[in-house]
Amino acid sequence: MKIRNGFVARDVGNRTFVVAVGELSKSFNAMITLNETGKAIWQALKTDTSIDEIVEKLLLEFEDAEKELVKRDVIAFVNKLDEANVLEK
Amino acid sequence: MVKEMFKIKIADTVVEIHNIYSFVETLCKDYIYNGDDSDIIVKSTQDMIEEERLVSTEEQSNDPYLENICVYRQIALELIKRDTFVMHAATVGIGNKAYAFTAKSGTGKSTHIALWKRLLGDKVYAINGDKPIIKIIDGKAYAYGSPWCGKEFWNSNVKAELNGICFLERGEENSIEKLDISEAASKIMKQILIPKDAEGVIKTFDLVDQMLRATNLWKLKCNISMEAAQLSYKTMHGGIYED
Repeated sequence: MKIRNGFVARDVGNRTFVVAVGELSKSFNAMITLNETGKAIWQALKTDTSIDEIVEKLLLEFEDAEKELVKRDVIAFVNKLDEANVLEK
Repeated sequence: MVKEMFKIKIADTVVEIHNIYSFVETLCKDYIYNGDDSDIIVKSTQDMIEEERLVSTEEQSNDPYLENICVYRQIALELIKRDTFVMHAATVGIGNKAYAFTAKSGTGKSTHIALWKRLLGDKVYAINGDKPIIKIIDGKAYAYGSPWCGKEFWNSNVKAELNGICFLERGEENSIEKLDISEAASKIMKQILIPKDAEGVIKTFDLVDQMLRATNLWKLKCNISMEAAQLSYKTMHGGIYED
């Protein structure tokens, strides 16, 4: 799975904001706000990947994090993105 | 109906406007520019007016009014390439400092700046009552007047450094505090025009980020009283111009 084409993410004031551009902006007009973890997951999802791969990447970035908790957070976040129709499989 | 053309200078930029109806030119009378050059050219067509009618949330829907909205939208999108963007906020000036009040419609931005006017008299002037232009120059944010300024027609053709943005909320008691930049970013996103192209989005977001870092950010909870105006004025302006 990966993020569909047509999203732009940019940092403003220590948060990351995502909007749809071009053709996609006609059907997707919400704005997504990402925190630090969300941003890391978003970055990982730019290319085709899996839940386990994302968890591995996050564990490298956030060394003190517990694997089970990270996995739970990743699944919850990915589900949210999927429900919002942000992902392609 | 005669095809017309006129030029204005706003935020140091010369805009050539090809209009259909005279309403927009009348609105721009304080900003007319007579030189030969132009930085931006915008044209309105009947098709654009029809498109505007479909998305408009404004009370008025006559063609001349819709044309003026669609002209400003085009100008706003062009200005982004010139480190300049339009923000939804009631903005006033004291000396060479500007203060922007922003909130959901109906919260009382206009009421609050009317209180500043009562408190400060001629010391305070309107820059733009609704949609000022913000320009980033060498890392500093400046607010400019523009003819598109909301129903009170509060505007003046001036430039002033943006010394504070105040996010207004209604409250029983009056209180003011510094607002964290992340929270300010989330709130300000609802008050800016976001382009539909990637380049435009990136440029706009970067300009907003620079603005938030260049100015003071405040959260004001207030009722409708002179005490509320005194509190926000004293805190935001620091009383530098107090007599």
